[in-house]
Amino acid sequence: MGLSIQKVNKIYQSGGTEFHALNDINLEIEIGEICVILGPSGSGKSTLLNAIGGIDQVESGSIAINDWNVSSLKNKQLVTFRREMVGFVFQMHNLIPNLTVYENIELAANISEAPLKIDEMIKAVGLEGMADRFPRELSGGQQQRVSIARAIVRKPKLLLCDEPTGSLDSNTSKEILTLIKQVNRNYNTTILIITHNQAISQMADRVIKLKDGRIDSVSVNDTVYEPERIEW
Amino acid sequence: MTLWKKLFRTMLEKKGQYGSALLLVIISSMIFYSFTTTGANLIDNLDQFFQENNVEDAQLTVSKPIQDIQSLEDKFDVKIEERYSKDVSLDDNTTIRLLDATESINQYALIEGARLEKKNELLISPSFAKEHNMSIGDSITLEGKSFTIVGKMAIPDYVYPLKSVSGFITQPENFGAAVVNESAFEDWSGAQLYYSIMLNKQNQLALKSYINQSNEIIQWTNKHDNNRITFIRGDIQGIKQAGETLPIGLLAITIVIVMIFLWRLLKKEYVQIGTLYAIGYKKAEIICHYVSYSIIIAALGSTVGTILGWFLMQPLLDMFSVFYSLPVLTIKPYFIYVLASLSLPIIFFVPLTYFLVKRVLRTPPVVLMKGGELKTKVNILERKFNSKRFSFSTRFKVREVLRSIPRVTFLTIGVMFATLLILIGFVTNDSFNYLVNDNYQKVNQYNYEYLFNQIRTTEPESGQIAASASFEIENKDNQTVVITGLKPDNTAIQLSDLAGNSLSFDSVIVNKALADKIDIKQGDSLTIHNQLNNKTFTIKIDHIANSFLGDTIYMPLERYNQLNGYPEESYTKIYSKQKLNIESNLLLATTNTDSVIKAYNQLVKPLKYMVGGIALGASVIAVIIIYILISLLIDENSFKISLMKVIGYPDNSIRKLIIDFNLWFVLLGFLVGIPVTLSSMSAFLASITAKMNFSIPIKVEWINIIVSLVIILIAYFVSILLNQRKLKKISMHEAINRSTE
Repeated sequence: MGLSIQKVNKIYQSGGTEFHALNDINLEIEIGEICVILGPSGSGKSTLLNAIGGIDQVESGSIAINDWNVSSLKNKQLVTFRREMVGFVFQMHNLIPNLTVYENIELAANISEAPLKIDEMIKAVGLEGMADRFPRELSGGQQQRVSIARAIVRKPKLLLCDEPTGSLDSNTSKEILTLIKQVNRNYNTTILIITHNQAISQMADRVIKLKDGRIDSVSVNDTVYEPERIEW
Repeated sequence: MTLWKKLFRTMLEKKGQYGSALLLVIISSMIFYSFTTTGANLIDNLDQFFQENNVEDAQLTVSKPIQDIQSLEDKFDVKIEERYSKDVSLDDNTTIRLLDATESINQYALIEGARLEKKNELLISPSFAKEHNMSIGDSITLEGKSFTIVGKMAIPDYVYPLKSVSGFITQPENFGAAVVNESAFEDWSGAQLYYSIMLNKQNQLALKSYINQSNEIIQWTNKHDNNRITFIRGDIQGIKQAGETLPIGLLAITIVIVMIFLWRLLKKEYVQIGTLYAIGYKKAEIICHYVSYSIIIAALGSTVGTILGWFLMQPLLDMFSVFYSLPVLTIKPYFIYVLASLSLPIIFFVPLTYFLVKRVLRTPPVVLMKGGELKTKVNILERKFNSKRFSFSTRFKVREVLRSIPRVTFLTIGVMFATLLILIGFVTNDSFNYLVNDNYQKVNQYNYEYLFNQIRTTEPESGQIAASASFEIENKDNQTVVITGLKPDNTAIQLSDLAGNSLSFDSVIVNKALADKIDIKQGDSLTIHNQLNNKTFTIKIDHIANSFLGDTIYMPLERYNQLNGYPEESYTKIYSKQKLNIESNLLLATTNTDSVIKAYNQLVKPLKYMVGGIALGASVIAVIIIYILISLLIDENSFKISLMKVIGYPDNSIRKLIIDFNLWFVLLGFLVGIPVTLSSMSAFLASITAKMNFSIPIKVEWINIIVSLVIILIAYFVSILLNQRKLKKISMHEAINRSTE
């Protein structure tokens, strides 16, 4: 069993007006897949990602991941779900500015029962020798590597990446995507990437297009490219 | 844990802000612990001293010596001891009162040096020795006799070394007590004899009646009417009370400051909090992390403050023990105060910060990750505000105020507290000044008061006669009162009613201190009991006088003598402008009003420094509060400020629109602070003087109000100046970047 989303709806209220952020979403994603969700601003990509990650709740429908029925979990159970199942990578990295590289990763490792070794993580994301640096001493790409290391140190089953290359140049973006691909390969982690960038869909097993809160299309790539071979 | 590192680093990054909050907690705990523990130790030592050294229950003076003390003791189950006293002048202004070393009542305690052995040895009170640079081993000559100072002592009936039992200011410069062996009095004439009594039963009345059968009691002073014995307790209570209330106020203001820091921190760290949620941190862990900021400030501040308080207690105890002539027998740390000092800031801080953090964390993680919720609601006041009639600038400012009511409320309260702190010093100073320099001098239009040790009937050569004694008011908790009988044409005492109209002494007049204490009005009647001869009579109050020193009733001398059964035209007092030549063996006490005023002025010298110190501390607090709030205002409006810069507004115009309106709330806080200070000081001083025989009218000079206002305004403009750079630093990129995100 992988990720199964059935008839999910999410409505926002703003100034007395209802806004249908997710409208009757149905989706199936296999374990170990890389899935890219494409769509313009306001299409509901982030809302869907947050709902899957258990940091936002939906009005109706069900979201099930392995044995977890996310949409019916209470707050405390959602915390456990996030701890055990999910890793997040954000567009703006969201590192704690006054913690070092090592400590930012340690922050996530601390709440895991059997985390990966932090030093190995730092090595794996290519930041050897930078463990004691603070985020402000790193480039955008290096910060995103820390963010990935922080997300995967707890060995999550699901890695949710919200515009992971949105603030990076094309070369750095390819490096980050390569790293994400490695995570997928090494740990068999199911990965969901949301992006504006159509090019990234070339590395995906499955591509989902969202428009106005609805699924516009779902396609399975016959040819999956290595990130370094993606044409930007 | 890793989050702890973040916590300490954040605090270090904002060390100015967190440091100032920490400093306020340290000051609060230090004042709290040192003053309360000093007060408690002094009271304990006082009780222990009174108990171990047998403080008298009363003292009495009779017209002729009591012959058979032993039979009186047996008959009434009392202990009576003779007490010799002699005032010796060291120079024109300085008197030393020699008292004999008693055996059973009012025994002296040796503070330093050796006990008395020889006839020419003398023990001196520490405050007098300090003031006159007298040391152990020094010799002093008293009326031609040489004495060696062999030590420093304390005696229970002179712990507050007042020249007169009804005095209120100690004058170590002019007056001190010394103890010598009884044999030293043998070679002297003019020594006064009175008796100290310890009662075992409530049989005072019977004892007095019995003595009056064969003798005449001229003066009977119960322990609770003897200011030398009672004043110290009121003083110490005042120290303790100030030590308890001032830090609570400081803590209250500190917690608000810490909460503002925390609120700002939380707002700034919304994204980080959202990220922690996303990573899998529990709400409780996140709350714990942010509450830890206040726990650290509270715990560290209270620990350091309590330790410093312990070190401050020793010099405070030394200072007070010299001031009161009280031996320090034991020093206890008082674990209850240690515990209170350590836990009070935590008790204050933790629940409030917990609710603050919990409230912020009610925001869903997904909203936090976006940097918080965008406010879309318009508050009711803003909606009701009819803006069309006003100029753009007025509309803008009014809207700013309506949108930030909690902040301007805190600014007002903060300035009110700073005003209170500044005014406390001025009010204390001005009230005491009024009491002594104005009220005391206005009422007492004489320079010398001579109190005789017997009722006199012969016309004096000069001066104005009066009679006074201590009485009890029935049905008013047996409140003791001094009733003074005056001739209707008396000019030595001048009283006016509360409206300022002069009062003549053909009526019964109660002073304000007593009227407030026993809650009586003009027209009320009082039943009075004479403590000397047990006579009881009723008087009707004709007027309340605007006088605050002593719980006193004035009445015509003729009526006074008649009601008490004293001979017509008899008197016990003479008031005089000039020094009179009266034999000292006829006198019980002499009071010089000049020396009282001089002593008061000596006493208030340190108070003036204290007033300055408090005002300085209060200004710093005012600057901190105003600075934090203005800086918060700039932070919150940074986008708006940036946008205004992009549009083309110069810094000055932006400041006028966004910051300058706060001046009105600073002024409002100041204005509210004045009545708040006056009423809280009134309650505070009333509680301190509840057991004393005077009350302190609350006064503050206009000039001091203006000085306080200037201090507050300086604090405001310093805060503006400090924030000016911050305003300038806001770049136009902020508006551009945010609008493109």
